[in-house]
Amino acid sequence: MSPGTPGLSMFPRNPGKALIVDDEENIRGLYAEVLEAMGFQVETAPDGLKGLERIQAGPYNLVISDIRMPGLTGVEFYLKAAQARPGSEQRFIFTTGLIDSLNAHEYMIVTEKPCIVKPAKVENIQQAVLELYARRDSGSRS
Amino acid sequence: MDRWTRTLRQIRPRDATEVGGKALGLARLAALDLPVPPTFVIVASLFEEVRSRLPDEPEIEMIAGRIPASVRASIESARDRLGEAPGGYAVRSSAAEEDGAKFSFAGVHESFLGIPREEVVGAAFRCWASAFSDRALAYRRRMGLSTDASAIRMAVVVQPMLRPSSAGVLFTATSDSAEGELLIHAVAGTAERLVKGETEPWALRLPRRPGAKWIVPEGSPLSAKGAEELASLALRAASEWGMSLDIEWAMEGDRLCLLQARPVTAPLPGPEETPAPADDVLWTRANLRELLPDLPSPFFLSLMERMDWVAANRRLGLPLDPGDQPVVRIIEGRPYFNLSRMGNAGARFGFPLSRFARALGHGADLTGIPEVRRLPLAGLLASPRSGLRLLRINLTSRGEVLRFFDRVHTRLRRLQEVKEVAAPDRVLLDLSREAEAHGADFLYVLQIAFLRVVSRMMAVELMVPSATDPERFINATVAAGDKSVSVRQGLDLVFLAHGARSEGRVVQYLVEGWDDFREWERELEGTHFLGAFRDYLARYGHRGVQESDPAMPLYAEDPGFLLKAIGRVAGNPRSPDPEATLRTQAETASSAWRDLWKRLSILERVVPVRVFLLRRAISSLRKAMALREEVRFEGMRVQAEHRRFLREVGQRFVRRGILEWAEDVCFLRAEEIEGALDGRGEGEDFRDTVHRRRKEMDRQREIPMPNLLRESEIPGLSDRSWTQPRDEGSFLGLPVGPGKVEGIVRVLEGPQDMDLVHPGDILVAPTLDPSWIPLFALASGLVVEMGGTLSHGSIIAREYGLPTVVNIPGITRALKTGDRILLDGSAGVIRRLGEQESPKEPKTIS
Repeated sequence: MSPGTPGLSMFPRNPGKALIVDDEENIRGLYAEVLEAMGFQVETAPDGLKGLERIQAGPYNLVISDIRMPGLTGVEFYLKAAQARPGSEQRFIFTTGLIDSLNAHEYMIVTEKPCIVKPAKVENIQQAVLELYARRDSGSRS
Repeated sequence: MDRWTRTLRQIRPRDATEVGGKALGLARLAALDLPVPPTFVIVASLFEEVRSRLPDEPEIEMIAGRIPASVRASIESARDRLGEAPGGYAVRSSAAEEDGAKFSFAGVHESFLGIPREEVVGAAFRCWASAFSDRALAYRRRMGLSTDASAIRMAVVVQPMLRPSSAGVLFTATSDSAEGELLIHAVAGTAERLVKGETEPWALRLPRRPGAKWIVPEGSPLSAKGAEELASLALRAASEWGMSLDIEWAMEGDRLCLLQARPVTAPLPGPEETPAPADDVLWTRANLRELLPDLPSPFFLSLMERMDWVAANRRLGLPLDPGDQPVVRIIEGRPYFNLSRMGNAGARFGFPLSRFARALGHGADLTGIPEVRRLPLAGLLASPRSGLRLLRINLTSRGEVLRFFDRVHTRLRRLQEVKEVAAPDRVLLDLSREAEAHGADFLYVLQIAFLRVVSRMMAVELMVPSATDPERFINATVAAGDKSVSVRQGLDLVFLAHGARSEGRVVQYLVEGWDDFREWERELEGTHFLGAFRDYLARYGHRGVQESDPAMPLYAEDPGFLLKAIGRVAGNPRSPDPEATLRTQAETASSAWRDLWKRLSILERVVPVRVFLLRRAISSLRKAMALREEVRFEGMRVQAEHRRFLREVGQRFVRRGILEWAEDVCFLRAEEIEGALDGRGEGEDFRDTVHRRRKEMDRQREIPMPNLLRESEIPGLSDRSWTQPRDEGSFLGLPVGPGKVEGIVRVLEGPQDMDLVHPGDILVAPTLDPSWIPLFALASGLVVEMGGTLSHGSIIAREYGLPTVVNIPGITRALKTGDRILLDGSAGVIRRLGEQESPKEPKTIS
C-alpha cells in the first residue's frame, strides 16, 4: 500500500465487505489486493449477473463494477442491484476506460459516482474509495 | 348614494378610477341582469381621505383602528345590507389599473376569504395597504406605473362567501371544433381546486345546432337544467359584449352566480371569417410548417413539384377527385397542399374535411369550410375498391413499416460504401434520382404511419365515456409509458448535460467556450463526455433542425447546436430532473384513469369491458405514435447519406466555376442539377440564378403567409402586412401537455434562438419539431401557434411532459417577449397577467 494517499490514515480499520465485478481476472486481482490492504473482506464476480446474485444474498459496504461486461452492463447491474437492495446505489464505484464510449444514460449515472479510470494506479483506487466514504458521510449528516 | 360605498347598480363606466377593474366587470354583468353575488364596493376616495387626515401614522395597517366612527358606520351598514353571510365575507382588491387585460396584479394585491362580520373593516384596510407593499411597488415599477402614493388608487370589493355545490368555467367558443360548441368545466364544491389544477373537471359539451341537448353523465356535479341555464346566461353576456367569453360560475343550491367574465380572443380574425364560395380552393401548409424552414430551399420545392401526388394518394387508397388545380402549389416560396381535393378524399370515408384540417393542425383559422358528411359505410359502398384498400393498408401498416425499415438498411449499407469524392458525375446523377425515389417511399410510409395513428385515435374517441373530454384524456394517458425515439433523443441530451456537471472541465468548455465549438474533439480529449457525446452523434447525428429540407445541416456535420444546448442545460442548476418529469407523467396518467373510473356506471365497473378495451386502445395509440416517430428517424438516415452527395455536387460546381459557394447548390432546382451532371447543360453558369433566387427569397420572407389560404386571397398576398392582433388577455387553444405554470414569455423563431432563452421561460413558437427538445430542458412551458393533437410537435411536447397549448393562430405576435402569462395546459387556456416584465423565477402551480 502506498502511504502517500492523503486521508488514508483516517480510514476505518474494519471497513467491512467489498464486491469486485469485472470480467478481467487480473483486474479483479489487482483491485482485491488494494482493498484487502485497506482492510476490506473482498469477494469477486466475473459478470453482472453473478454480482447480482451476491448482492441478493447479502449486503456489501462497497461495490466496484466494470461497465463493459458480458451479460449485464455495469449500469444495468447497478440499477438492478439498487432495486434488489435499496441503499446499494450509495456504495457503488464504477471503473472504465476513457476509450469505452458510454451512452448518455450510462454517462449520467457513472459520472455521478467516484470513478476509477483504467488503466488504474493503486492511488486511484484508494482515492475513489476514500471519496465514496467521504460523500457518504457528508450525505448522512445532511 | 352613500359617499364611501357603492352597490353594483350604482356604478357607471366613468367610475372606473373610483371602483377599480374588478368591480366594473361585475357591474357590467349586473347591468345585463345577470346573477352576480351580492356585492358592495368601498371606493378609492375613502382610503385617500383617511390617509390625508392621518399624515403622521407611519404604519399603514394601523390606520384602520383610527378611522372616524361615521366612516366605519357607513361601511358596516353597506355590509349588513348584503344580507346573511354564514360563511363570512370575501374581501378583495379592485385597483384602478386592474382591468384584466393589461395589468392583472395577480397575486400582487391581497384578498381575504372567510372574514368574520366584525373584521370586514380591518380586512378592507389591509387589502388597501397591500397596494403599498414592496411587492406591489416593485410590480408597478416594472410595469411602468407611477409609484407615487397619490397615484395609487385602490377600491375594495366585499361579498358574502359563497358555499357552492358546484363551480367551474364556461367557454362560449372552443377552438377545437369547427362548428363551435359550448364547453363547461365543472367540479363539485368551489372552483379553487380546479383553478389550481388539482382536480380534473367534468366536461359538458353542447354542440351549437338547433335542438341540441346537453348530455349530462351520471354523477356530474352540474345538472342538465343547471347547464342549460348557465349556457343561456353566458350566451346572452357574450352576445351583449360582442365577443367570446370565458366565464367563472358557481351554483349555490339551485341559484346560479357569475363570478367573473373575461374576453377570449382569436388573435387573428383575418379574411377567413367571411364565408367563401364553395369552389374557392383551400390551400394548407400546416403539417409542412412543422418540419421545414418557413422558406424551404428551391431544391426541395422542385422535388415537391415533381412528385406524382395523384398516384401517391391512389396507392394510399384515398384517390383524389379530378380537379383543374394541382395537388401541390408553391405560393410565394412556400409549398401548399390542396386541402379541398385531399380533404374530400377522406370525407368519402366519414372523415370530414374540418376534422382532417384539424388533424393537420388548423384551428381557429378554420371557419365556414364547406362540409361533406357521409357515413363510413356509404364511402365503402360508393368506392369499394378504395375502401378495401384503405382497410387493408390500415390492417397491414405495421408490416409495411417494418419492410420500410429493411429497405432503409439495405439502402444504407450500399450508400455507405460509396465514396462521394471518387464517384463520377454519372454516379452522382443516379444517386440523386435514388434520393428522390427514397423521398417518395419515405413519404408514403409516413402517411401510412399517420393513418395508423388516426384510426387508433378514432377508436379511443369511440370508447371514451361522453362525460370525459377525449383530448384531455388522451393527452394525460398517452404521455406516460415508453418514450418515442424523438423524445429519447431529447432526454439523452439532458442526461449528457446532467453527467457533464460532474466533469468540471466539460462544463467549463461548454459554458465558457464562447460558442466556438470547432475544436471540440481536441478540447474534450480525456473526458468521459467525449465518448458519450460521440455515441450520441452516432445515434442521432443524422437528424437536424428542420431536417426535412435537404438544405439544412445535420447535427453530425455541425454539432455546435447540440454542444451549446448541453452547455445551457448543464450550466443551469435549476433545470428540471428528467426522472422527476417521468414520475409526474405517470401520476397524471393514473389520476386520469381514476377520474374516468368514477364516471362509469355501476354495471361498467362490475364488468369493466370498456376500461379493458380502452387501456388496450390507449396503448395501441401510444405505439402507433411512437412508430410514426421511428419512421421519421429511420427515413432520415438515408436522406442524411444523400446529403453527403449533394454537398459533393456543390463542391464540384464551385471547382467548375458555375457556383460561388458549395451550399448554393440548394438554390438550384433538381432538373438544373441533373442537367449539369449529365452534361446537357454544361457550361451553364448558375451564379446569377442563385443571386436572383436569393433576392427573391428576401422579398418573399417579408410576406406574411398564413397556414391556411383561399385561392381568392392569393392575388393580394404581396400587399399584406402582419396585422397587430387585438390586445386582449386570454387565448384558447388545444390542450396538449397537462399542467399549469406561470412564467415569462420568450417568443422564438426557431431553436437556433436558444441563446435568448432564460431558464424557466415559457417558449412561444410558430412550430415545434424534435430539434426543439434541447430547449425543453430550459423551459417551463410551451405555446405553439401550429399543431393538432396528432402533430409531431404535440406528440413530443406531451411525451416530454411540459405544460403545452398548441393551435393558437397569431399567438407569436399577440404575445411579446417579457409578458407574464399563466399557461393552463390541461384546459388549453393562456392568460396574460402582465406585460414585458423582467425575467423571474417560474412558479409551478400543482
